[in-house]
Amino acid sequence: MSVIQAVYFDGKSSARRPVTLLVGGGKVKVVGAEVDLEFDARLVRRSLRVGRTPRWLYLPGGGACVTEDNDAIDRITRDMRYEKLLYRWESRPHYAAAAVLLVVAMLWLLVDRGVPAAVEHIAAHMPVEAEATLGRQTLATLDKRWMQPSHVATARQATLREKFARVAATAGKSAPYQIEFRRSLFGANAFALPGGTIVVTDGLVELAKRDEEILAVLAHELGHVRGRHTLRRLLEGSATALVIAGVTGDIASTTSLAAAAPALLVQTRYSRDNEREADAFALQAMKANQLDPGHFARILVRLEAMHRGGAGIPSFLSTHPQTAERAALARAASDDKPRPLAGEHLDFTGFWKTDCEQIFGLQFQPSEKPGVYSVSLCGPEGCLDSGTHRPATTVQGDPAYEVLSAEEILIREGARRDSTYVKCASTLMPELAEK
Amino acid sequence: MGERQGSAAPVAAGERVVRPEFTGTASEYFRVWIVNLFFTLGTLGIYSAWAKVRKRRYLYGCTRLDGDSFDYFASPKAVLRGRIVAVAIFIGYALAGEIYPPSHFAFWAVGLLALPWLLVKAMSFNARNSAYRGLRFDFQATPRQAARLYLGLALVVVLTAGVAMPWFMARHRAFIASHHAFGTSGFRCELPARSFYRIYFLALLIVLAFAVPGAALSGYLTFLQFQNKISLPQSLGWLVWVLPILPVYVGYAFAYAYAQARTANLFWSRVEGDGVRFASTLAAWGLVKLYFSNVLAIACTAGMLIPWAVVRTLRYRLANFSMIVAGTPLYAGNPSLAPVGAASQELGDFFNVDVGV
Repeated sequence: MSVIQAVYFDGKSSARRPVTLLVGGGKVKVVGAEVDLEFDARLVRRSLRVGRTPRWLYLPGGGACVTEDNDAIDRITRDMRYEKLLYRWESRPHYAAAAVLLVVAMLWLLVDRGVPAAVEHIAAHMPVEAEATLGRQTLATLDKRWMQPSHVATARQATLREKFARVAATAGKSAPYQIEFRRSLFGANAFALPGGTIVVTDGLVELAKRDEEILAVLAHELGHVRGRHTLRRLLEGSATALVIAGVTGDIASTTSLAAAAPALLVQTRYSRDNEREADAFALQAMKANQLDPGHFARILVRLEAMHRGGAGIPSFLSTHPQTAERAALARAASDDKPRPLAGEHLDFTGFWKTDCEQIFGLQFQPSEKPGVYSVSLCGPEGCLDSGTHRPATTVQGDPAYEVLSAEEILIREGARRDSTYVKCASTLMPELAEK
Repeated sequence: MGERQGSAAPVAAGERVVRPEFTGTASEYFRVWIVNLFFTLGTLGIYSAWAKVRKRRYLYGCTRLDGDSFDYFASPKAVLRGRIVAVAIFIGYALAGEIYPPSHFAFWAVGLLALPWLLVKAMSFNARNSAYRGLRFDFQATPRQAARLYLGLALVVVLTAGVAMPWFMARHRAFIASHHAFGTSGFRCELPARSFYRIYFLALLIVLAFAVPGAALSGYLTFLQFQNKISLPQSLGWLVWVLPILPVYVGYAFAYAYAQARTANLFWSRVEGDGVRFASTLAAWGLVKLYFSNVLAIACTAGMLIPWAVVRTLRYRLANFSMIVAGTPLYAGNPSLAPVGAASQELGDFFNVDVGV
């Protein structure tokens, strides 16, 4: 016979009555002032033990008893293993510490392995038609809000499409794709939509110095199309948001900012993997077509130089892996124009222009000291005073110059005006007599 | 029962002030939270229904009023059913929107029409599964009454471009309170729209007090940058995006805390039941400090301090709440209370419909 101090409520009024519970012989007796009840113990339900909160016994007929004596209730009831396990975990600090580690591990497993696996499954079973519809809807929305018809001549568009068709055909396992030219606020850019549409902005066509560079970017985007990356990113975004919502469901409304940031970070990490995959495909496609992968490196650096002018995005938020890292990979794949090594001295002597069809450019003239050049502004008639652009520079190691290859240099001309120069001639021009 | 006197609220003869107490601790709630989170993840979310009930049982069980704690006995299976329905609808909404964006309008239209019903069911589920001294609470409004308020009056708010908003909020809170009951004894509440207008107008002034100088300053900075007088290092370029928005957010947080504190105090002073009335003494500054420290702590610990934030917020709210009881009133239970499904409450949670008072 166990004796437990409790408070009895009859369920018909809010009156509280201190009582004594007598438990034994399959019976529960509730005894107190004005109360004398007896119940079959099997019909009495009890609440689960949670921390040090009081315990309830629900009696047949709507009454209930509550007691602080949790241990006594545990003694008189046969413990269910599930309940025992829960309470033990919740009541001991080192179990809680273990739970913290397990939660972190499981979140990682879920987001890093579970979500991609689920997305893989859904993407594989998603009808091609549904994905194409999604792509059309996205393009329509973009056209309405962000993009305008291209200014690139139709003939040039056709040439680029045709050239790329050859690259894609030789690249091995490809996927149906479609190239759209648009003018947009995004500047020089190209992106793949679900369903295989690749959008190229006029800015990119203008930024490219050679068609091979555009082909390289298109090959990269085709890599995304092949892997259905855009669809995956959409699915991953939704799935990760669901996981985060589940974890922070407690107070999602008060801390939405704090809750949204990890989702954003996780999402961008996925697409970095995708970018690497697309890069690998682009390089392989170019090699298969006997195109120099160095073109890819050059347009990447130029793209970054152009985007760097505007308000930057912190690097950990960028969806593309660091440009330097990607360009280095592309240069490594390019065998005929390796990036100059740290100790290697190149000869920069000659006439450099942003584009060899331009009239004006810069002349690099060697000085008496080996490896030091004076750089001057030149036109078709000749050059201004020696050193008008920069009197003495080693080029390599000068922060104003970034040597991309023996024939291409990135020149920093101010916060927003980086441009690349290519070597158009190795001969020197005479200096002008009159300025 | 030991009587605890001494409150700022004026107490008439024969009345006593009862202050709620929170007997739990952040570390204990943390253990409950983390273990339940572990099981939730381990079962891919299925256990979340049990976890929800268990966490709420802890918080209710630790809240004492006049010596007795609250009890929560929602069935986890009912909660799980509700969650499955909510997730299914959410996935339908998301997928349909990706494939055919205009379908969002249809979802919102149906959702808007279903809102009164959803709200009534959610409030009922919550009230009927909460008990104190062996008696269940109840929420007795009909969907028709809710529809009149939430569709009819909400339309007025839209037509007046939000000018009617404070009036609507006053009606909304009075509606929620006056349809709640403890056992068979209902609560009464009437809120003057005029006071709500004063509170919301001041809240608007607070937002402007932060947003206008903030916008002017960031405009000036942008101007300087265009003139090349100052230039941010590239790694700090994102500040250009964040700076103009930041004062608006801070101003919004202050205004939100102010409106929360003042409306809650006003609201509770106007609620009364049989032999009982209430007082609330929340301070705007206290809530501001609470919100900012919570967000900071949660963000810095990747969510690990969520339980701590929950407990201290609850503690602060309870510390500023009191019940003034006349004599020792007895309340009768309502034997006809039928259990209500959990689906509507879960839908509310999921789509962020605010059903709390």
